[in-house]
Amino acid sequence: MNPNNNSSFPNTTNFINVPLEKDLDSNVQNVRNILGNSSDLLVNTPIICGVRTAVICFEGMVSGYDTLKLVTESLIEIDLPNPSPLDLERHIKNKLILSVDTVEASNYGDIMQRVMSGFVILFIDGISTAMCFGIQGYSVRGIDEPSSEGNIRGSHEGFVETVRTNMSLIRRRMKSPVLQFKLFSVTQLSNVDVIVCYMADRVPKSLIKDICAKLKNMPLETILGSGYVEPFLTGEKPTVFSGISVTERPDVMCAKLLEGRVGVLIEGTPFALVMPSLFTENFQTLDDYNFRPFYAVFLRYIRYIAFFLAIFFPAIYVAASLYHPEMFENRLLYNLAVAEEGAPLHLMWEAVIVLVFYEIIREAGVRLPKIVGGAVSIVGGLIIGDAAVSAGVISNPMLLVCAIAVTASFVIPSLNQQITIFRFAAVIIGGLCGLFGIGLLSAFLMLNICAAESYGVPVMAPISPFTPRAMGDVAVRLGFRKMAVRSFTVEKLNGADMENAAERENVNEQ
Amino acid sequence: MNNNKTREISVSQIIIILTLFSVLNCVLFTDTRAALSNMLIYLAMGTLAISLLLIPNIFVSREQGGVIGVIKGHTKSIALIAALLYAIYLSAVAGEYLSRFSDFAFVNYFNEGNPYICTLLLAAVCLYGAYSGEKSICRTGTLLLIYAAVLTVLLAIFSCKDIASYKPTQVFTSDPDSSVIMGISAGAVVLCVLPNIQGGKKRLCASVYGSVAAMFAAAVILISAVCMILGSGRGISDYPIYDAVIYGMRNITIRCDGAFFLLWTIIAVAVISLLLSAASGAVKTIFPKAKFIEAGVTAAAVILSLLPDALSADSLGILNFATLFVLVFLIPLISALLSAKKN
Repeated sequence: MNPNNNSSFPNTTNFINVPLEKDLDSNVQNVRNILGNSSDLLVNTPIICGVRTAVICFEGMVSGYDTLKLVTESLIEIDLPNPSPLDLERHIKNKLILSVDTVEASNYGDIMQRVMSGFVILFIDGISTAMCFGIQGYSVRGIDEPSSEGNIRGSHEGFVETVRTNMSLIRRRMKSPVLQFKLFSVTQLSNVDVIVCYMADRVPKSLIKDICAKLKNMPLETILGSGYVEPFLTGEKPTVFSGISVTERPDVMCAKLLEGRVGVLIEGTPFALVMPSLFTENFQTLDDYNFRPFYAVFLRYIRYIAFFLAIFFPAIYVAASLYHPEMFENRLLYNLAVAEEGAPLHLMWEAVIVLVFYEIIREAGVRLPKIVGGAVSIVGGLIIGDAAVSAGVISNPMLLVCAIAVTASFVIPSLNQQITIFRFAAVIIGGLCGLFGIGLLSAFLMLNICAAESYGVPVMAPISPFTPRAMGDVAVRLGFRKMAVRSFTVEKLNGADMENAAERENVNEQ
Repeated sequence: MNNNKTREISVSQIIIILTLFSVLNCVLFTDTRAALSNMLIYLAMGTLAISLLLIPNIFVSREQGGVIGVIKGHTKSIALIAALLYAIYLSAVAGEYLSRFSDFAFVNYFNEGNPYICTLLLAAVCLYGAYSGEKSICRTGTLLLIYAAVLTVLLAIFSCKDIASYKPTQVFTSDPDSSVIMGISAGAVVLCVLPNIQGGKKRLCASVYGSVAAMFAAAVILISAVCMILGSGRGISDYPIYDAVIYGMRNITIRCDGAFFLLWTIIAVAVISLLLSAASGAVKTIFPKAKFIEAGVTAAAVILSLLPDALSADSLGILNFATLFVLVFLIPLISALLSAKKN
């Protein structure tokens, strides 16, 4: 067949459901045309026992050594007397194991999906299907310590960019048949691999179906990070605090799966999504469960306090100084007045400026190479801060207050975005309306967070709606002797209804 | 499993939010001009009357659409009138609270600038609360209760030496004030309008009577605490609870009443939002597809709150016992009779 004369010939856009042909040359030519004769396409055409074949793969996507040893050598060593193409295919299928991951493809869509995922494709002349052998050999980052979730006594393994490796990291920790993975490709243009993982006995089937449907229907061209996917998995209602959490740790993921949640692993990012997620989980770390309970409880309350300090401390300082000075002890008030006397700016603007400068320094530290990033901290923190106070632009107490608030925000990195924005909002409204304004902002925050639901689970649970049973891991941290028998799942929280979440969401959207 | 579990308000949530309603009412509407013994008797009798009036509501609240929904099933025009009555009453009460809380904040914490800005800011957040719905508002109750408990415990710890020396004394001096009972009355109307309280009739009974009892208890405890803390040496005060908080910390070198003010502000937002949301809910029962009802109801409450005192809902007699009788007893009774006729 001459491809140029046939209008139904598959090209770069219409190949997905076009079936393979029996003619080897046509198949090879079609693949070349679909890929526009891409330079990284490798085509070898060995003749095996007199039958013409073609081995196709992408350079750098397969392991060269394994392809040679497992596929090419095994194929060349086949010794059949005058086999037909069908005999050769049966022999390869039934007598040889060229790869543990072997699938058959019957259309060009499947072929493209496989070859771009690091499979070796074997075409046989006269056969209208192709065999795909998974011999991936692309360069991947090794398993490393998670960069965003540090811990002292837990595992030091973190997720990597390869979704199959991440799958194995979870499976190694949970050798249970109820742990299930659903792998599929999403986004039509890029065919990104996505894995939905869950404990089959703890998550309603309707919820899995809903999540898979949402992932498959995403109108994206590609996924370059977990943030691309998150908006499509959350509800329509705008909320400040997300009902989806992110983790880089396989052990954390396992803990979440055990509590009846669903994980989504995405090719190309080490950050996995977990849903539904609760607000209180932002204050829990893996180390809480490795430390003695009394110390874990102490740390947890430190985090709760840090959260409030991070958002409200500068705002309360500004509001109290401007409108409610009676809140300060007399000597403290005198010292503050003396310190603020020299500062030329209004207290609210002083706080805003300090916080803006901190954000600039932080952003510079994050974006610059690590070696220079350290220098930015020194220049920003020590030199600029000291110079600003010496020059009388900013007062010492304000610098101290802002520094405490910023340091407190490091304690809960998962809430950094919300804390940053609300800290600014609180300072401004505290400066304009005092504690009344801060009260209004707090009320807005409370209403917003209490309105948030993730897949039928209120984000503020188990505090509101209150679930006394769950307080063992929120108000305190019980010892494992008691925790082990709790078999807590999010579905059991008061007010949770994961079973009908999808149905309700559809009704709301209509 | 209940299909609408997350859409419903639990018994404890409704009790907590209405208790906080009573707390706010005491903060804003008690004053030392009323005689303590008269006030407590008035409160007890009022609560008892409201409890009796609420009986018909028990029979119809679990029906589809609640009190108004049942009437709508028979005669749409009467349902419309009933919905409007509920909406007007609840907006008027919301307006009273908006006005009173803005005054409270302005008088005690600002005293310069424009008090109407307080009202508008408060109304803006309450509008957001009304849009969030009763469920979200009721959920904030638990958080507020935790905050209130922590503050009260801290206050008690810091002033424990003084508490031992307090002697209960009558600080309320003259005639009873009808506004003391307003919180419980408005709470009872809210109970008639909220259609989605979780569980069957038993749970509904627990919600309704638990709420009324909790509102009464909160009022009695607060008023008694004020008497105990302030003692006989205090003069006439518009906000005795505010005074009691400050006076309770008289031996501490810092004044922490700001923390209580924060709490009262958030409670005010929650309570006014609940009233606005309930008013919107009543209208929505009749016009389910109408938009911006919450905005309309909030605007009405703001306008009512900005009117001069002579034109306020309280002065015009909207918030009297006759209105309460119609809203809490008569309309639910008609609804119950219509429901019984249908069955």
